[in-house]
Amino acid sequence: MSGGAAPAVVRRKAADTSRVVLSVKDLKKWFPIRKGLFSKVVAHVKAVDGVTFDIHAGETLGFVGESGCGKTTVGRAILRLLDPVTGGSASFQGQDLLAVGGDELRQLRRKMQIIFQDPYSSLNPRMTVESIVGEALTVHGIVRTTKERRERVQELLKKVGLDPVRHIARYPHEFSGGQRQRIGIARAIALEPDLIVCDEAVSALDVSIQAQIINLLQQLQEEMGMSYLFIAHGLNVVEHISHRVAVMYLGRIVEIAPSDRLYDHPSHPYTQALLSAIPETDPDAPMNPEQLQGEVPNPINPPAGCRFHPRCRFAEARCKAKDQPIPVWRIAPGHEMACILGEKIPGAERIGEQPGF
Amino acid sequence: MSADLDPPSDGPWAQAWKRLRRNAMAIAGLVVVSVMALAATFAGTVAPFDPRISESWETSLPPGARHLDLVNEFVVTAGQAPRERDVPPWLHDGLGDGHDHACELDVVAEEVKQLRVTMDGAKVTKIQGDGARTLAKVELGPEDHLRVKDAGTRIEAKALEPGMALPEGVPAKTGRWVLFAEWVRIAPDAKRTVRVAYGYGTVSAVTVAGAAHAGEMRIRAEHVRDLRVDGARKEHVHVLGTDLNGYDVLSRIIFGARISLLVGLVATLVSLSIGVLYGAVSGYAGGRTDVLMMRAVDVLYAMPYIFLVIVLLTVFDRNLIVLFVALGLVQWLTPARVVRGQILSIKRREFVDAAVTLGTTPWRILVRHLIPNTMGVVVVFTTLTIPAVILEESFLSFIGLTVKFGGEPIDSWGALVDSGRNALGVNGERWWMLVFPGAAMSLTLFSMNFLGDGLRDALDPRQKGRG
Amino acid sequence: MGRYVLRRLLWTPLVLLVLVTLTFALIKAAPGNPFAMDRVVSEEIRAQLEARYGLDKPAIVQFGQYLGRVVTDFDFGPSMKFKDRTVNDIIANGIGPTMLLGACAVILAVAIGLTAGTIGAVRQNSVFDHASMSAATFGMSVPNFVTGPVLVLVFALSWKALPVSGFDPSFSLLPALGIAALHVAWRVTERIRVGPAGFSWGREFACLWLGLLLAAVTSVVTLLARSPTLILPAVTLALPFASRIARLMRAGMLEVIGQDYVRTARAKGLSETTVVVRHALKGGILPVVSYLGPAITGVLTGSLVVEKIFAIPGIGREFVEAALSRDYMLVLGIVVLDGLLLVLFNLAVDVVYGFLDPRIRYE
Ligand SMILES: Nc1ncnc2c1ncn2[C@@H]1O[C@H](COP(=O)(O)OP(=O)(O)O)[C@@H](O)[C@H]1O
Ligand SMILES: [Mg+2]
Repeated sequence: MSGGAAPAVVRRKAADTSRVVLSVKDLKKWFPIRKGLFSKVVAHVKAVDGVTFDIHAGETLGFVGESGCGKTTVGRAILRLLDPVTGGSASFQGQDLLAVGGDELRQLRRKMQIIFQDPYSSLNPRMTVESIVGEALTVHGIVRTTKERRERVQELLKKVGLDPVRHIARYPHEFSGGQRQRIGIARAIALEPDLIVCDEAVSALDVSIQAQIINLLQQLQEEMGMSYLFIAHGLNVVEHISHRVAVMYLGRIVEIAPSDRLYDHPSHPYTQALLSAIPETDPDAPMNPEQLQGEVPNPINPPAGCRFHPRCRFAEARCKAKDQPIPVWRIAPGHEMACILGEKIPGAERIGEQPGF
Repeated sequence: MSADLDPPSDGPWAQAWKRLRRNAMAIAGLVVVSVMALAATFAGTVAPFDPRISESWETSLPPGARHLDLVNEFVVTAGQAPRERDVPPWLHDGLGDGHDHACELDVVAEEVKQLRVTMDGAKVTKIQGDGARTLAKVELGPEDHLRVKDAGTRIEAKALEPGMALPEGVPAKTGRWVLFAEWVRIAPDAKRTVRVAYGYGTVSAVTVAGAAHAGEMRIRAEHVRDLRVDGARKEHVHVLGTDLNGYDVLSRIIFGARISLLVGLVATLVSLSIGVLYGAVSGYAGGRTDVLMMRAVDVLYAMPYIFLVIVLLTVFDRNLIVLFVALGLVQWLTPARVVRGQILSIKRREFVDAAVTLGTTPWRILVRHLIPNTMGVVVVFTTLTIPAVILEESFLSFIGLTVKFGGEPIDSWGALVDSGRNALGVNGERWWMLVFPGAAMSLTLFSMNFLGDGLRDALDPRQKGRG
Repeated sequence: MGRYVLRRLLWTPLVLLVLVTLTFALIKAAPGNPFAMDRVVSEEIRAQLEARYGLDKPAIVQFGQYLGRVVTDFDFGPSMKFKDRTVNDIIANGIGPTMLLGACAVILAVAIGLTAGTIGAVRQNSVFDHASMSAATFGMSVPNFVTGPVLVLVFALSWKALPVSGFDPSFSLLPALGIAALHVAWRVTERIRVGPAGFSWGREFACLWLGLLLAAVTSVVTLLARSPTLILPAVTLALPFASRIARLMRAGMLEVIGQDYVRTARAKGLSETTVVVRHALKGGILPVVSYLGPAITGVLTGSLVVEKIFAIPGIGREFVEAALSRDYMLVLGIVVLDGLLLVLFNLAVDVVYGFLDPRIRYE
């Protein structure tokens, strides 16, 4: 791990793999592109194009991929911030997540929260810490009086490492980035949710503060037992917090595996490239030959065949063929990846396929 | 947390204030506007005169004219307590304090002569002056008067001579009879000093310098040129002169400010509330609702508004409510557009998504999260809309669509400018009645516009220097 | 471009319809029945009104009839105050002076504003710049019902250099002169090669500029020589708009002058005049053109006041008098007419803008 950012203080607690909290199947979200006088839809940004995964109780699922690959879209779609989705299904604790509405949805929202990347735009600059953190309590009628609310907010502030007395009446601009992120965390845990989507929750922070925030999140998970969907664009950030990691490329998951397994045996070329992008601690290490080349392709018109082929070191002619399904392989228990050349991996067992283009 | 690198910053308002403070013109504007607002709020205390009381002999006084604190006409009689109704305030000031006071008036006037007019039916037959001297004719100047004792009336007449018909106002009688009259002759140069000594509730002596005695003195205020009580001058100054009706111009301006500013403030609040809410709903709803709502604004935008306002004020009673509605209706469109634009960008900020995820209702999101974040624009619009509304109200007053404020004859600035314009005179000799209200109005609008521009620059530095 | 103009054209009747409906509804909503009950309506006029608009019929039918007559015959009905005059008569008499005054004011405002703004931008921070910008800020804040009487006070009453008020009907040359000036300018600029490659509307611009200057000079000369009565009203009306235009022009030009490609042009050794003519003017003129729409609205509104101050027998004064005496038919007629004028002017301005700035054609 680089830059002294190793958050090795808190040990990862094992997840309860028997209970699935969130189950997502073949989720799709396409953003229409409109043009002209009558706003005709001329194309789609296929931000998420068939994503399937589960999250277990008390588990942290890391979501990794370059910027623009659709991680945020997955997170927002699950939180019903992007209605309606284009396709697929999702169930949360057995409830059909994408179908509920009205009061049911409001009740469901208590159980799923989000922590954002940008600590500046994620806190309302015109509200005090007390009203930011306490809003959910008021909205759901959890507290009746302002006194009650203040006490609850103070507890929450203590939990996230803020001063419950000095900080409660302040406005967001009076805090530093890390402190703001703590306020965002306090807001997210106020309703004691079962799942928190952490959308690049530490990416905007200074490295040393990243470690503090990750520690805090782990500690809270131990205390409260919620699951995290932990989104980041680099593999280094998620390593220590995640039980499992999913790697996304252009709207699809290309590899998913238990954390230790993924870092030790990355099998998709994209995962390998991402891993090699983590800066080495040892300055004398040779330049990494697997470094990613080129730009992320345009998601409006992704490459035919395997979407990764233009940047893949191993790409062959058949990777470019149109309309072929992409096979999904199981390499080890819980370790799956999607690659046209997957049969070359020893022990790979074909368990399904993703539709082709 | 000690390693946290980005330090806390000033709040948006503190930053804006810092920027505003560097803008000298805006600060000057702020000062002027504050002074105006204060003066308008405490108009009763600040204004030197009551703008509803005028003195008929104080009309059209130029700026700087002194005002002697007198009532129109009063009688002081030695040995009597002055009746409150009759005497000027200065004479009352010292009444009960147990000291003797002396006051001196320079009176330019007052040759009171007794006349005996003998009449037959409706005709004058003979006129006798002091000492029963028969007079051939009594000429009356424009300022002179006859007071008829029997009839208790004052007669306006040009001359009095035997053989003429009775002046109007004198009741005709059959047979010969005698009318006693006082001929009050105004002699411009005959300046005399009258001393009135008083104290303990009564007037002890009335003496006229150079005259033998004056036990009773009838004094017309218009003839008093100077007034001193115990050696100190008693006078007020009409700094900006008086108008055709004798109202103090400065006081009228101050009370007019009260009305103009009040109308500006209330109509602005009305229109901004409508505009902000409309724009916010439109922007937050988005989609077809947004398109529809904004098209409606576009249509209204193309209307010749002031004409509609005039129709509104023509059709309905011209009261304050109608005025507020009329002015408010004009001004909500621009804020609605701008606030909508702001909301479109604010609603994409992450704290709004956070609120949605918390299960906050759309209405609460609108009121608690979106609208408060448009306050910068709203402040700027308030400072720019108030002068616009003041201008419109004055415009309406000026063209004659004045609104009555609770029946009081207090005019807004526009009406003052209009009456000033009408009072100018053929050579513009009464210029102050136009120039001062006009200047007050221009200065206020000027300051408010500067302040508004300054605030816009301060709150949104990117916009700087447009238009 | 064609589609853009078409869309704007379709917009026009809608706006007018809303305006007529609103005004009609307002009058109908008045306490009592304004068309029938008002004291000032003589028996004769009432009979006329009833015959024409069927005042016993439901409001919607009356509205339909009114609209029908306005659209087909351009007939605004009889005045409710003068029994021998129709609204059309009154408007026909008043429109000339109002248009004349408005034209003078717009020409003066644009000519003064563009000149002052351009000089201010080219000689930024000079004495002239500071003086003219302070004057402009002041000019924008002083309402015309203050400026007008003060000008009367100074120039007519005290100094006696100009007549107080009145209107000389013999004078109506100005619009013709303006058009002639524009025509001359168009012919003259035919020979000028202002535009380098990539600067497509150099000629239009030079023409506009020259035409305005010619129009301004001729109008001032004519005003002085033939109809001094119009000078004070025209100046009063023009002042706030001249101020605004000067500020817009200056700001727009400075923005362009500050941009990289202009600095490059300068660095390449192009003369200052070339830089200004080729690049900077363009940046200033666009905001000014888009301001012309609101300015024309303002001129029409301002004419209400100015015609009252200077006793000019235009429709502005007629409107104010009609409003004060509750001559609803006349009020309605003038609102509709002014609305029509405004919408048409705004349309023209928008089309010119679209012509100058290619970006919005494809919006
Ligand atoms: N509201 C939207 N409308 C159109 N395109 C969008 C929208 N949101 C995201 N996208 C596009 O979808 C793709 C995925 O975006 P996102 O999920 O934010 O990626 P990530 O979080 O992995 O960086 C990007 O190409 C982005 O431009
Ligand atoms: Mg993202």
